[in-house]
Amino acid sequence: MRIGYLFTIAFRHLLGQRRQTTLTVAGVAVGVAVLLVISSLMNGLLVSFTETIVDASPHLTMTSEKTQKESQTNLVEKAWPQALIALTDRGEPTEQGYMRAYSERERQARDLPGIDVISPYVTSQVIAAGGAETKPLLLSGIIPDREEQIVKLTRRIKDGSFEAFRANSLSILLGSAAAKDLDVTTGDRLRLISPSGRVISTRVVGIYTTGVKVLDEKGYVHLRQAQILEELDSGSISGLNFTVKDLDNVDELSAALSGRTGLKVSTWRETNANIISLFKTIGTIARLLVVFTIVVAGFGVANVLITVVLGKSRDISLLRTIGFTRARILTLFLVEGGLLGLAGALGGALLGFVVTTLLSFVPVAGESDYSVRKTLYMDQNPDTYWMTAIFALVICLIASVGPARRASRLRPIDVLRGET
Amino acid sequence: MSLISVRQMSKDLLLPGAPPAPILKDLTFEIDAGEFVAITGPSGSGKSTLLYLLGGLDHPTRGELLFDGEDLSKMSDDELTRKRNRQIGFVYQFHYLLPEFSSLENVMMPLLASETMSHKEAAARAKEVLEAVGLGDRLGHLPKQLSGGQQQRVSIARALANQPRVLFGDEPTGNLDTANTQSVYELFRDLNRRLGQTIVIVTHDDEIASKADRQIQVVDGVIAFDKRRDEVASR
Repeated sequence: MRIGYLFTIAFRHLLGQRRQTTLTVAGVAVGVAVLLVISSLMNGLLVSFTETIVDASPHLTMTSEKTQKESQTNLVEKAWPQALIALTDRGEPTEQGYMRAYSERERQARDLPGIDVISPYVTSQVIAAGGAETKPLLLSGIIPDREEQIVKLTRRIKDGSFEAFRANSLSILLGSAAAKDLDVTTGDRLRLISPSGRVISTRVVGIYTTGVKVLDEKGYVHLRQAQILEELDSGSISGLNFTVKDLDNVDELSAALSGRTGLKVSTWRETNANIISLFKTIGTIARLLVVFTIVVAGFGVANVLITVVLGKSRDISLLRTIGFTRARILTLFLVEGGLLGLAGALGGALLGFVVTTLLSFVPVAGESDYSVRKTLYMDQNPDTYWMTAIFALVICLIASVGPARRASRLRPIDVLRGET
Repeated sequence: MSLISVRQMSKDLLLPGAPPAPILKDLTFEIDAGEFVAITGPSGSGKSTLLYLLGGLDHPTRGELLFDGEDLSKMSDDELTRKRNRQIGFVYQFHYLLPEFSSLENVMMPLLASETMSHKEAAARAKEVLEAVGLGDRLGHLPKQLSGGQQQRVSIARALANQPRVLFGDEPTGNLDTANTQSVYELFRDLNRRLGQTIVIVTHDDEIASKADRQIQVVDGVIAFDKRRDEVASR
């Protein structure tokens, strides 16, 4: 079947309505472009946010919490499966939440290929006093050289130095938000008081900014100091932080680590699941709103086609008399809608690409030193372009169904009669 | 066998909420291949309706309408469309040329619509027909760049492009001045004489009607008279 001539007729019809055609194509193009820009902006934000998290957080975290399987298997039940009374081993409150003899866990993890840095930590919630304010503060006790490789504190220090922290076991590094909250600065003394009443006196040797709020609201001390505050021996910790050599393997490594130790292991994605899903939701809502723009552009397509159908009813009738079947007339107008959609999609893709490229030169405002990227990251994914273009095309085709059916139902005899 | 055979054919005008109004009543006649027929009659007599029925643009309400042995009254819209494309040519009072297309492209339309010819073949055939109607030098012109007479010739070329069995004309000279009327008539005459083209036209022009080989006059939906030229002349 040779239907190339339908394209010729469609082209001429649309060129005959040049102004309306141009406006309609521009409408579709703007919709497509905005959708593309929003998509790549949202994807880009997620990617740069992820990079910031991944750059400043452990990829895996192992805590003393047992995996479901381990914790549910009660020793009493194991020994006497028929026992009517099940004893629950709650353990001592102080013991719960801590990993004893962590070097064994460390060794187990070290044996797994793919694990890069291992850094033990102790979390401690204290009251910080010494500045103008006395406030609660979350502490992480760490081994500076190890944690440094994970959080990269050196390049996040705004004031003071990481060297000073490493050299002085009674020093504290504060996040910028925490420092502001406590109203202290480098060189100030800060007393840390644990819930059990233990007190350690430290000196603020540095203030850092990561850009991740929870990290900036806390402080770092040496591992031993945190152990003292929590009344732990030097072999006990809250958990282990890890980085992996290849982020793509993080889920497999998490499962392997958990399987090997029987302890709960979370990936960075699980730890940050809330915020990642928030990002995705916002992205989806933004895209959904823009989708309506394209649907509105579809009305424009219907509009221009109705104009053609009304203005050309005589020509359509003539085509019917000389041998165009109803199906052919229907096809003709679908082709016209398709051409409008195609032109709009191509124009929109081009416009979207240009705008996205320009936006990717926009510097990230504010304290850009903590961000991995210095400019807005726009995620230029070819799939997004394809899907958006096809979506616009489909909308335009749907919009042309009505006018096309109307055209195909014109009875030539009615039009001819009207003329004579 | 006659090319067109009409037996007790009626056409009612059906309007919603009104009783059917008869437009054509029990017509019976035949048209042979090679005839040049003029259908005449006062306005509203039903002559145009008759032409549209013969040309497969509408279905009769009752009766039989055989075109080349096939009953048009029983054909679906698609079958009629195909029939019009391959065997029927239409010329109207107005040229109905597509304004965005050149003479050549306008004549190519029915050829392309048949979807059996390549663009090149269609162009060659269209050129041939346009040359035959004396417009070989106007192939690339748009309708608006042509005179009224030339426009009508292009529309005749379009009607002839698929070598139809019958060329129908609905007041084909109704919109032309005397000189152009004469030249269109001569074109019809020539096609009829030289190629044996069957021609059926509705006309108000008594002179054209009197020059046709046969005149069928319709009055109030019935045939008032149906006479060959020699008979018409002797009336």
